[in-house]
Amino acid sequence: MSERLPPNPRERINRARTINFSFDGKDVEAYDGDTIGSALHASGQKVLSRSFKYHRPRGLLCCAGQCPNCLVDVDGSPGVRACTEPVRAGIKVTHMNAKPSLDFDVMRATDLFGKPFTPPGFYYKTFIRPRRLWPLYEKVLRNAAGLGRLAKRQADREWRTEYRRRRADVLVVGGGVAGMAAALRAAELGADVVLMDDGPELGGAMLAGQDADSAKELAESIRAAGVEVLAPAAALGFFDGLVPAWQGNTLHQVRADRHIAATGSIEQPLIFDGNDLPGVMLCSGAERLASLYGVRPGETAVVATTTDRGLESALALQEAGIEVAGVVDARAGDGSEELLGALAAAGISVHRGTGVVKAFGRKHVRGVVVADLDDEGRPDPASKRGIDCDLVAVSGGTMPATSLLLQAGAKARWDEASGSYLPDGVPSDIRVAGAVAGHEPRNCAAKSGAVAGAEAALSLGLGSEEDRARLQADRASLLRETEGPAPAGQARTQDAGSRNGKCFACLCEDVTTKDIDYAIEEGFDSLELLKRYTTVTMGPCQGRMCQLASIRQMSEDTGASIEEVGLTTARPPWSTVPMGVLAGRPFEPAKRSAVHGRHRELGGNVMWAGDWRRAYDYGDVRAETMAVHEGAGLIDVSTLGKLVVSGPEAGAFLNLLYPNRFDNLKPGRIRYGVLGDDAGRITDDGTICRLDENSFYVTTTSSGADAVESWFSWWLAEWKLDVQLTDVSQGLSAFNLAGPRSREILSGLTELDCSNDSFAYLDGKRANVVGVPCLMLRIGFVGELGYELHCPGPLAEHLWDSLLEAGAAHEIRPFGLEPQRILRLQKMHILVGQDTDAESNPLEAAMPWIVKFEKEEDFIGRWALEAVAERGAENKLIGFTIENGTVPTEGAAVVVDGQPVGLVTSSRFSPKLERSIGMAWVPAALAEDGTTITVSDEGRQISAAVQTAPFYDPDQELLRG
Amino acid sequence: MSFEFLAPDAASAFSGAAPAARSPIEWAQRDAGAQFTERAGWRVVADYGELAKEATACRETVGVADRSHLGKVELQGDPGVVAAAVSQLARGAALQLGTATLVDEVWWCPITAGRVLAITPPEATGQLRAELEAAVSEGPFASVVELTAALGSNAVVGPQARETFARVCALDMRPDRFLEGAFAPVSVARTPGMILRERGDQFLHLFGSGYAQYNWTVFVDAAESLGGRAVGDETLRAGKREAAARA
Ligand code: FES
Repeated sequence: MSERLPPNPRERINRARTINFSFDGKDVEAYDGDTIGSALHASGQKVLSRSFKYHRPRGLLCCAGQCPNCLVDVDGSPGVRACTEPVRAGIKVTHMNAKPSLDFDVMRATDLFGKPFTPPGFYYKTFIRPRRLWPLYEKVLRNAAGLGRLAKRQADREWRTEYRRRRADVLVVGGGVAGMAAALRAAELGADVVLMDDGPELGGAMLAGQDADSAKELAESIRAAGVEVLAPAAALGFFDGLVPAWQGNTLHQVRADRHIAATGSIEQPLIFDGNDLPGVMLCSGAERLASLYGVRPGETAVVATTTDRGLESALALQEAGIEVAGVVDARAGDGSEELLGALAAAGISVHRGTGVVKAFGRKHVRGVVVADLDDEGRPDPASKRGIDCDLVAVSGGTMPATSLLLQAGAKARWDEASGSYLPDGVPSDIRVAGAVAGHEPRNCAAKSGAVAGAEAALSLGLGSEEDRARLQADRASLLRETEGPAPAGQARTQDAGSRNGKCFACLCEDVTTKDIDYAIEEGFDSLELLKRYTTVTMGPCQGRMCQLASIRQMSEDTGASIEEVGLTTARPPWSTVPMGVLAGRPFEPAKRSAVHGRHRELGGNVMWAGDWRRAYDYGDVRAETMAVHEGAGLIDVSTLGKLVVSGPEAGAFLNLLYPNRFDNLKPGRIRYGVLGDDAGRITDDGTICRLDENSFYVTTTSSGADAVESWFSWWLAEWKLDVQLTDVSQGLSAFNLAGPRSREILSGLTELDCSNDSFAYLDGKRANVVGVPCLMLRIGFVGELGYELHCPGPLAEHLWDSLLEAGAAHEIRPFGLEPQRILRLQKMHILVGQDTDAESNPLEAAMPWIVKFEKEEDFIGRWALEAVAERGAENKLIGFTIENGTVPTEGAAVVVDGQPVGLVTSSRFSPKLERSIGMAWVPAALAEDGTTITVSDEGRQISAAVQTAPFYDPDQELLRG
Repeated sequence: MSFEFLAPDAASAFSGAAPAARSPIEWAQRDAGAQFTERAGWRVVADYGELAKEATACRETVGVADRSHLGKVELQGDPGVVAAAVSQLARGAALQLGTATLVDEVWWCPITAGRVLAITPPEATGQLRAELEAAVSEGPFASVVELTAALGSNAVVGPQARETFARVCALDMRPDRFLEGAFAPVSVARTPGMILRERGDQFLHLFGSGYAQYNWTVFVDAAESLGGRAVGDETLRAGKREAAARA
């Protein structure tokens, strides 16, 4: 802790409490309240990172989380800004992007020798030939690129993150004086206000200066006024009124009726040879370090500036106990007389009309070379002279932080008077306050905030006439305060690098002024192109440190005015944010059947099936399949979509939707239906049972339930029929009890007569089974005698248990999805989406019998199906068998003369039939029983015999028996 | 009643007592140590063995309680027919979209102009269904469909209830915007749902019962992260008694 300054009243640290942590394995002592960056700097660790491309040493620059210089890894999380991250006891901090060590980085060779190979866009130009080596180049480049590494194990990368939605009347972004004044005024007028700021403490620039106490008082007032303060919470972007902000493990998503941007301004660096050396800091950064953390930014400072801001800073640094060797002011004549007088009184010499040409030193600044500047800002080589120092505090003016506003649809206009881009054309629900609006001085910023806060609240209908009058008065006085003379001095860059030196325009991406010149020479002479080509403004600072510099340089190089060069819009996120925070909690909405727990108990292999978790099998697919053939099986088919369609016109409605008839279906009877779209293509299928004169019970495929409900609702709204539709899919469980002994099992559990005479194939009956109210459908998707029992979910477990218990004597087995797929394939029952695709129609999908052209009324897809009928089927869905037991892959091609003409949609080995069976789309000419087709499957040519009738029980005797 | 196979209360005795209805979340509740009691034919979680902590959660942070046993019946038809039937059964109440009306312990929740969901204590479900059917038996067709089993429901109770919803839902639930009785169909935890503000800090979340276990896990997880927990029916009943006494 050798580099601490004497205590000052503004500091955040508690010198009575020390905390220890490690940096690159070495123990570091910090004070409670320190950031990692301040503690490291205080401990003498001035190099915190290596730069992205050239691996140059970098140290603290802004001390405000605005630049890329202090990114470190904390406990395995890369990309943490050391200058804002509070120290916690025991954390392990390590450097990023340097090998083998931060002190000695072999990749620094790219800086020393790599110049010819690393011009802008080098990755587009080099490593191209020979092409076959690209995979190798890519590997090497990927290894070299990027900042930090994620933990290898998934478990080490996971941490709990949350979304939190917040609605508010007014959202204020920015917790400086303007933001706080805005929040306070809006809250006073009755608005529900949220204020977010990226700093841990409200007050912004005030905190490091003489007004720190007022900042604290104001912060207390706004909390007392009921403002919800989110801090530190960095606003990430503006998405149609939604502003997300990252705070700890939470992503706040704030949607407000009015927004106030009080995002302040960002101090700009200066450009000279070696402007990235550790020891070169923004004036505000050096002041923050000294004031908030009591850390000496350097022993001897040279302050380089283009505005009065540098003059103020020189005084502040000297007052903090840092020797100021001189102020280098690019302005020859401008400057506040008062400040110049104070500097003279303090014994600080001011070199006017002078600029820093070079900062020198190996890993840290040891001094600067300064030179007189001509009228255009060019240094006079003859006037070069050196000043020894270990701190170069720079201030190139400020840039209003307009990025969020631009994302919200505002424009930015170049303001010659202030030498900055100010917001323009701001959307009506947004107010702008403080420095971002050009209202910089403290009193003026507070007034600006109060006006914005009042405007926001009053526009929501809050406040009184008196408040409106006060707003008018405040507006008028704000206007007077902001009129006055323009801020003295224009920010100018000083590009005077030596032949081998590097002047960095963009620290994040290591883009030098020469790179920009080079890119412009190559023709990338629009700012948008320049950005993409050189990646200037695309790094972690998102243009905060480099946008203005690149605009200015482009203006100088091309002769276009700054206004003409324009501004690019930084894309969200505007601040660095971990991907895990954006992802939020890993919700995985899954539907589960009412007896899901039983499936797990029974050893079911549970997998996804659409939105549902389903038992794929219970460990023995063959035995489960054979149980259905030989005794009985029970499968949970609760996933089926289930709709109640009722009303006097329900039959007519279904007639219009399906290609077959339903108005003539008798109550208590069931009919299969294939649903198609306007082009006659199959979209879903299922059974329909008529419950009574007015009501039908429609089942759909498991994954099609929502789409069918939407499809029905859409047509219902169109046709305006007297029909009501209710989706009961999730309320009803359904079990298919199938197998030759299913009738026997069922008969023992219900008073209903289950004989074939009384409960025939395609009958639907309502009765209680073991006391559970059921709708029983006698259908046979799996090809054996079977009953689908539909019952209320809350009673399903009792029914399931009872069926298995009663079936035990009949060797019943629960069976899963996979056995069901084998069983249905034996019957050539299609699976929509597997055996059909977006082009399949029922005429070609082996179901011409379902299309009733003789129906007098229209039905959806009729016209298209008539066209198909007229032209004849081009392709057909057929069954095939393979005697040698080979099971082709689903999706394998059916080929003729080596050319693909169709594809296999389903294929399985049938334990019952003891051969491979499948379904495939083939040209109509091949769809004849006995034809041999060739399936090309991963290099194998497999012969298969076409079969058009079901493989099992083709005459439905078992089903009907 | 046309659709008795939709109604859990249509269970009957078969070689013993009629089977009890079980919540779609029962498996998760068993794992969490729930003590069950029988109520109106339902197995309901009485508590999780920590009554005092459950009460504290509802008072100080947030409690999540399964209320899937509430009766839910949907009336659907021409808006005029629906309005007349509701008015007849709810003592003249006129429904307004966005607001549910509580009459004789039945919440009348308008989903659309022609669609109303009535939520009732479980013991009154059959009676409500019968009354609705009777109310629309004459005149233009309207459908009455039992949705008790189709919709799971959780009560989310306590000062952190809104914060719990804020983790999973974008609805503006500020007290002065989402008033007592407010009712909104809305996406919750990426699934379709409905939220009713029953009173004060007590909300009822309704969802497709297929998603019941998922929603339960999500809400209990969110509640726990805020210091809350799963609570049983006893705690809710005690809270209701306290609220009644205060009123
Ligand atoms: S020094 Fe940390 S972000 Fe600039």
